[in-house]
Amino acid sequence: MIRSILSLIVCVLSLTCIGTTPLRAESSQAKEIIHTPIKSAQMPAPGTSMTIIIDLSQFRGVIARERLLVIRDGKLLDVPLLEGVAEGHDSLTHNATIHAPLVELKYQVLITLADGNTVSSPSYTLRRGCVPNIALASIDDPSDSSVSERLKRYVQQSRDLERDLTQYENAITLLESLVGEVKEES
Amino acid sequence: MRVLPYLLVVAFIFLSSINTVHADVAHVVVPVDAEVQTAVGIIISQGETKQVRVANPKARDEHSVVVEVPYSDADRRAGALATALVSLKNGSVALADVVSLQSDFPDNSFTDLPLCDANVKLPVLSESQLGNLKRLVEIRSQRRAVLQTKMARLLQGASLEKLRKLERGFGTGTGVPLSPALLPFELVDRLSRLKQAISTYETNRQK
Repeated sequence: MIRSILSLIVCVLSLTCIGTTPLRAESSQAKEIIHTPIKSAQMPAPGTSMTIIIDLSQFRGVIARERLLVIRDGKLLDVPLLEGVAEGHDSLTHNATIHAPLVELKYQVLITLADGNTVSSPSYTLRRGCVPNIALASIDDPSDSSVSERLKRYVQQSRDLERDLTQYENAITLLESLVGEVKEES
Repeated sequence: MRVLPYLLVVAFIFLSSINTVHADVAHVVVPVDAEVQTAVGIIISQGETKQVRVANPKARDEHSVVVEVPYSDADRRAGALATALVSLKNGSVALADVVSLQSDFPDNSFTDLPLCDANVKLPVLSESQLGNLKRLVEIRSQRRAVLQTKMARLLQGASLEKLRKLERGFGTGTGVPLSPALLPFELVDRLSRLKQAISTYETNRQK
């Protein structure tokens, strides 16, 4: 119960913070969040890790908090941005790793500056043109089919199985991390 | 005690911004695993977040209810998003999907999208490669079985119960209980959202 309440507070605070902190664009007119989104067609397969890289070089030294507001297939995620490896003295890149959606990913960068002002990027939307199949790969034996049909079936099955393996491996990595955290807490 | 989550919502969302002029309603689906106690609609836009009163949610199916969240023309023009928080009689809280008020992608519906073409473009292959391909399928199939077994071993007993409880607490569940039998994509989606919610909670707690 306590956890419910605390999580609710976090959730609501998060939402209200996004919505109610005044956006003071005038104080940062010359500064901008630099990001070039990938094209929708370049989105990796559903459930595969993808990294979003943001250039915050123009805000060097004045950032109090940075995060990525993500809506993945309609579900809200508040993702922290991690500081990346600097490529040069003036470079300040941040990145966030998320899992690719089934169909749609919307995201927006929000940074809180040391003076309390908030700056946000435009909202980016990636949307697939079709719904990928996420059902488990069928492994029925096509041995009574023609050679060309069997070749086609085996290629299809091996590709679908490869997708299943990637998704299970990602799920297990997440699960091991979560189970570790749960054990540490209890 | 059960009304406490609702009271907290009211305390943290600005009551003064309750929406009064409504143009339409957004139908927000909320996954639930118990009887609904109270519901509140939330409109999120670039400038503000406001609470809106909603009627009693309607049952959609065994695992979800629909909350009708009223919004104004101004909300829609501002590119606002709608969601809902539902407190349940078992003490947990359910957070709905976020839906766009824009008419281009209403309610995050993917039903207008076709299924991707499942036909593979076959590379140039000869009959001699049939055995190798069959073996590849067998190896990958065995590897998948190993991972499924590992998933079932990790996601059972006390750990499973704890994760289900956390999903209920953070409102990241979908109504269908977490289990190793879910599709791997669904597992990635559910577990990654839970992990992110915990991470955000921990970060905010430290500040």
